[in-house]
Amino acid sequence: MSRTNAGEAALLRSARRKRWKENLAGWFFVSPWMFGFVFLMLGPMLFSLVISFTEWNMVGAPKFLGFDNYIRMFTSDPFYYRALTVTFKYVFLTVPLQVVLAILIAVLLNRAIVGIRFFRAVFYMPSLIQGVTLALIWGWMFNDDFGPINFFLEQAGLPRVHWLTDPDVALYALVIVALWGVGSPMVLYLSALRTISSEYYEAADIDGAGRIRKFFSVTLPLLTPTVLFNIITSLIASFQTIVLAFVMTGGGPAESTYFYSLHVYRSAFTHFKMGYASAMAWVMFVMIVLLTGLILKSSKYWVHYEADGGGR
Amino acid sequence: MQAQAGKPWERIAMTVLIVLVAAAFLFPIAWMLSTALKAPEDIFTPTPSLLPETWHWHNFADAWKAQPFAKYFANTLIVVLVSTPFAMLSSTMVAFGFARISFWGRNALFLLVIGTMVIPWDVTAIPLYIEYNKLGLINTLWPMILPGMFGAPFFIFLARQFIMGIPHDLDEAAKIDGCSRWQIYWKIVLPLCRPVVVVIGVFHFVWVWNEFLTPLIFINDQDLYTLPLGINLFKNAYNIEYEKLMAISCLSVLFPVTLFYFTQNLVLGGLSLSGVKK
Amino acid sequence: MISAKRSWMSVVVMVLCVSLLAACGGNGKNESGSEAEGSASAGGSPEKVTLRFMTWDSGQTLQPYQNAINAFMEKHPNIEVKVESVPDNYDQKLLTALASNTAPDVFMAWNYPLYVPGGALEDLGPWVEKDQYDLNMYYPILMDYMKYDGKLWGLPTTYSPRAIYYNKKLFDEAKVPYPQDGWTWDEFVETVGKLTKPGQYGFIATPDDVFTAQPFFWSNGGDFISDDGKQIEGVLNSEQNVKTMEFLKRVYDASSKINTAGKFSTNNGIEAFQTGQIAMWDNGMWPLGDMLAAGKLDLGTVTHPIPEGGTLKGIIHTSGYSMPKNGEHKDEAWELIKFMSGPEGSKIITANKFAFSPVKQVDKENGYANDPYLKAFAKELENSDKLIANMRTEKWSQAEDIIRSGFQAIFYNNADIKKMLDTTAQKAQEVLK
Repeated sequence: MSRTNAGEAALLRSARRKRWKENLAGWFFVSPWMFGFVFLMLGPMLFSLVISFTEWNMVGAPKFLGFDNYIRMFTSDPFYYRALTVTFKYVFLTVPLQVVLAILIAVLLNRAIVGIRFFRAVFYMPSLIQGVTLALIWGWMFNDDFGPINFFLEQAGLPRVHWLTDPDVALYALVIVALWGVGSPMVLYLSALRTISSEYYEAADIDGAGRIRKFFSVTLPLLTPTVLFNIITSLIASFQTIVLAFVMTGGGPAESTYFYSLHVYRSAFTHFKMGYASAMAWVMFVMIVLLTGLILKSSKYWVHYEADGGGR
Repeated sequence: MQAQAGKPWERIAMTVLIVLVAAAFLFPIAWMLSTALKAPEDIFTPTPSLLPETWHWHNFADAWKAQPFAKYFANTLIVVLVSTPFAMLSSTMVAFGFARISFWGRNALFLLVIGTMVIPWDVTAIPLYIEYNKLGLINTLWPMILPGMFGAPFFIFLARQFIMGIPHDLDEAAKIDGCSRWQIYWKIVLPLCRPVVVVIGVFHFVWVWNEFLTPLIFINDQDLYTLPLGINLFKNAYNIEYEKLMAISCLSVLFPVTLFYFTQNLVLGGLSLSGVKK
Repeated sequence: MISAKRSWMSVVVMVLCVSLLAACGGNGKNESGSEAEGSASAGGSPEKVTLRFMTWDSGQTLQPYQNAINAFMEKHPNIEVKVESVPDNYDQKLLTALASNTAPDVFMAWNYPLYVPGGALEDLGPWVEKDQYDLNMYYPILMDYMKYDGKLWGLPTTYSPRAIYYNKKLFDEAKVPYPQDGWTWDEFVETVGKLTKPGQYGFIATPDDVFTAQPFFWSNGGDFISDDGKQIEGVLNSEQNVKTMEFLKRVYDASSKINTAGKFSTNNGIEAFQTGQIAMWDNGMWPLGDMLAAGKLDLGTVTHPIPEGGTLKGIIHTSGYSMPKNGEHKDEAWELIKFMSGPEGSKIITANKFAFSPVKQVDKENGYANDPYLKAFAKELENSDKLIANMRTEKWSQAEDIIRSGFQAIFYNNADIKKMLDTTAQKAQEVLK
């Protein structure tokens, strides 16, 4: 009896030690990020969290407010829900469209034709153009008076579109600009496509699957890990989008492109209300983390890691 | 695998389709280039034209001389070259931890990694500035180099997705052979990660290359400016020197696009987040 | 192990947080700078001092300031001035620097009511007193823009009123006589209508830009906010303002009935004006020099139209040179400010019709009031006695957002003007609390 107990205890101890070693190994591998996080991010993040409970104009001493900023956001800020609506609309348009477009272009470019390397570079190139240059060039493309797009429309006998000056259109114009930068995810999809083993397609051929069915039953499942990555990162980027609205529309016309992050920025650096801006930033943080957590949780139902042999 | 060549008419149709879509994608860039070559008074006309009336190649030289762009270019290059190798290494290392080891707090920590992508920079910039100031790093290139060195969330996530697709039997076999975790990472997983490492390198390069707000806030001395800040100097409250701004923008894109052109086979040699080639 | 790790981490976090919070509390010690450098002017052979000067100007618009700075450095060989040009995100950069006590020694600013609370800026009053610096050389209205809370926060840089530019060729084509100073609102609306056709706008003034709409309201005897900055309700929704708004709406409709939008354009429409797609255009004098030098346009300038029984009251764009309270080289910074703002510097800066000088004497010497193109601008200044709304309360920017939103509802959605001004005034009043 006692011998077995001792044996169990030893076993337990070794299991515990193994656990412990496993933990240690895990923390060792993530330590570079932890180091960067603790020393470069944690302080500033907590600082902004603390500041979110204060009124602070950045040049004086902060004044403690309790939850006032958070309450104000949902009750008396005339622009908060507007900013929230605009942002959600933009996110739910941009993310799915970007995923679909990136996959389509990747499939299109996944073939051996003359100059394919050149074409891949062409599709990737727009994602290299960012910031002010991006906003300027598209502000020009869409310009009412001398924009090439309206010029072409007119030449084709179509009416001009007031891309950036019509409150009903401006947001869609910005979605188009976002989709232009589809190159980065496209590269990821393209490389994922390149590694799909031809055995899968041969098997599907034997089943007599058509091209469309092959895409949906073979190609798409094998792209799902990339899709997961693409959805989450593009979701975050879309929530934070600001440069385009900042330079191209200023949030207008009639607040039709007044993004959440523009509201945060303006609260901080136009109204000098850093406390309020921080509070809004943290609410957005919670929203995105919840959404991301939900997507990650759902991923085990639809993401297929080949290494798992088709599911866990 | 690559799509097999179909019937000839299909190949032609596909090629035509690619060319058309590519032309649409390329148009704004062609517009940038054409603007860079136009005379200032030809830039805005009621009837826009892609071809410059007269070709002003000297716009490039003028723009280059308008600011010390050689210096800005060098600064940008330093930042990119120092930070990118670290980013490639640290991101995969951290990702290995998340993908392969089930340690206490892993899932929460991973959500935190993603969470740090979420918090807007605007509200953390001031405390970060104060911190860098205490460390004496304000007005140096370090604030642009440091953050990426410890692994950026975007790349950690990307590499994690990739590593999760590498079959477990490889590490199991290695473990039986007595390999340590580090050896598994270094000798088995990292070599298999080559495509994702190259992708991280290219993306990180582009990302840092275009970074605007970080240098704007943390750098005061114009001798330390990077390209995006230099480009921005062609713009002021009521006037934009379009031809010069576009000329430098074109030059600025040239570098990363060349990098991509020549590394695409390394990247596309196989980056799959779902599994390694069998 | 884990709990130990956790508590260790929380200690680090606490320390970081506390030290960061302490650093921004705003007590004026600068820890990084060496104290020795600060007292440059003390010794017999002065040490070389480097001043940082931050401006939102860049490229072509920076050049006039750079010329003045070069002249300053020639005069003060022991002072080197490094220009930091920040055309975008200026407030963000300046605030971040002020919050961490690393602000430039001299910087440009204009929205003093926002910057002053918190005490990061140096009150220039004592400096003026110490040097017996003569403030009477400046236009009094400009000095009002430099003051808030009864103290002096900057010395003026340059100034420019706004006036209306017009393209003579488009007037000729439409056989419409050129506008004359003192023209009425009705004439203006009529002119806009005549000059608007497909692809051409009679007038673009970004009418939902609250800031530039102010002169129209003033000249009709109205305002946005009371002089003491405390009352919007009853001021914004006054009888006169309803009339002014009706006028602006008529202008908007006249210009946009054919071209359904076109209120915003890149860069306030400067490109569209230069390419002859806009007949009339409201702006300051800054682009004038460049446009005349390009010689592409045959243009004229005219004062804003005035309502029946109203008087012309122009709006002034100006800014000041300021320094931070915690600056290291305040003596030298003050020298630079005096030079730049005073007769010598402003003479250099305002050369070539770049802007008007805040120094009356320099303005007279420049003779811009008699320049055919600048006459209209000079006239706008004559009766201008109103301070822009920003200068009256630190909460204006928030109220402005609400007012802009109300204006847009009127322009875009044809909201009832009286009702909209009433509700807007009420909402904006809330913000002031």
